Amino acid sequence: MRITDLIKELRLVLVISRDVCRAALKERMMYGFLLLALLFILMANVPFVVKDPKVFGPQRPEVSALQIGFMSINVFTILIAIFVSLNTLQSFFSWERLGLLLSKPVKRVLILEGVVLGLFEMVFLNWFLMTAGVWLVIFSQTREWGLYIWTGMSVTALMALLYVALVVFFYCIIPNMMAGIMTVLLIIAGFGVPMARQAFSTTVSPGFVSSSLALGLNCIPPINSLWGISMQQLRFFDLDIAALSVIFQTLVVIFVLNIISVIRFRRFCQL
Amino acid sequence: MSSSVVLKVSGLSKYFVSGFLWGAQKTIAVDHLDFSLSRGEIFGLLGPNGAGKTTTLNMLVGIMKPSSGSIDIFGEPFFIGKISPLARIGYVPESTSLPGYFTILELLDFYGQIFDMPASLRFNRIKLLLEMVGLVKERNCLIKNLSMGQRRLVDIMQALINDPDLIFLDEPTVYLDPVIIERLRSILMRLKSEGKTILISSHMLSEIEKVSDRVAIIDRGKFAKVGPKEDFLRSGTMEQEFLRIVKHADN
Repeated sequence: MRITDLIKELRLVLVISRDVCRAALKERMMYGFLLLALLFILMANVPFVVKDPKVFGPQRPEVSALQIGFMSINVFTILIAIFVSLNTLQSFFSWERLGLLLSKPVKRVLILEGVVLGLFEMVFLNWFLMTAGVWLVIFSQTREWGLYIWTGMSVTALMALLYVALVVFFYCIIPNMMAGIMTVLLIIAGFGVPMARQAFSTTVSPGFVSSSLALGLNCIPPINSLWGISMQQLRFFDLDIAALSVIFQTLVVIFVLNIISVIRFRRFCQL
Repeated sequence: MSSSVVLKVSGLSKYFVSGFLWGAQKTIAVDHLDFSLSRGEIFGLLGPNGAGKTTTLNMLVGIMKPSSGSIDIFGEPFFIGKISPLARIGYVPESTSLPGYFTILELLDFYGQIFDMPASLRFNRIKLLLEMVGLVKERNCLIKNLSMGQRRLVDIMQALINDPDLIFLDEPTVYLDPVIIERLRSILMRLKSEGKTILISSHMLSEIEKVSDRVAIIDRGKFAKVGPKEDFLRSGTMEQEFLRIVKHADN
């Protein structure tokens, strides 16, 4: 493929992604979630006001504030990434709207990549606003720049990309609300991976079974480990997690999900 | 194939299978259609509801995969995934859900970018189309605030944004009042005079009668009659001929 063709295709992906992001930003549900998230983030001020160790423990108030912010950002990123994405997919992939786009000279793969990118732009924007909220609260109280807040929370942005990839993947297989439910279930499974790995490591099982289990567990997104990296960066705990390998595994999972989504999307478009 | 032939369809069929294994049922939507369109021709496709008009058009623009048969567009075989001929095709779907949050200008600009048109060309083309359909004043209105007739005109504009050589219109007169239908008719005649080839599917028999060069009546997926417009008008109006053919097929 020539460079000019590649640039042309990238431009098409950006055009579609802008449209999808715009459609997503029109979802009222998103503003509801964002508003709630910002209200919760405002509650991060409380540890600075209530300095009673019986309420927030012996830790410094900024750590308690960060914990409130961290939980708010993670919970609302999941909600926005799944439910707003799902709503946007339902309107964008309606037969009339998708049919019209399919009658234009655009490859199906570019449509899907544009959709994924557009949804990610929307989730990223929300993540940025929420993280900026937490950072502002901490900065206003401590007058410290706290750049580690941004690096710690950036793992959540990667998780948001993972959630979007999961929703799109499931939507290409089951184009209804079930896609959202499946995503939630898989995220829950992702939290349980370390426990499952530990549980299976203690039982002696035949080589084939244990290798299949290991493969299966490696395919599940390592949500728990990602949270661990984030907490490590935010200085909540001193955890020993190989951050690079977990991030690499997450990127591989996202890439594979994307490939399967593209294959499924070709069938999704054909009647 | 003659160089003036823009579209050639041979044995085009589409069937849908519902159910599974022994309970599977095959529904034939389009059954071995053969026809061709020459440059500058307006071809009218008439048929009752469920006759297979929209399915045929969906296959011709690459949305739906034919079960069998071949489509040649601009002298080259066309199939799903081949996008180069689509750059010279315009398509007005039967029903669209245009995104309401776009203004007319933004929507046309979006589709212009999809066709990779440079900004200056897009600007000129949009200006020309707005003047052609008479929506210059409404150019900054949100789509959701337009009337159904105006939305239909926007549908037609998005199909013409790339200055296509081959245009497919599926029920373009739906939601349009007589004034706008008259405007659409003059647009079609203008496009014809520019050498554009048009396939128009409609229930409005009088419209087909006024603008088409050749007409086909499709019923239950098959052509019941194809020929020059004059052949349909020998024994009366287009409507009388249409009803005679469809009722005869029913019997």
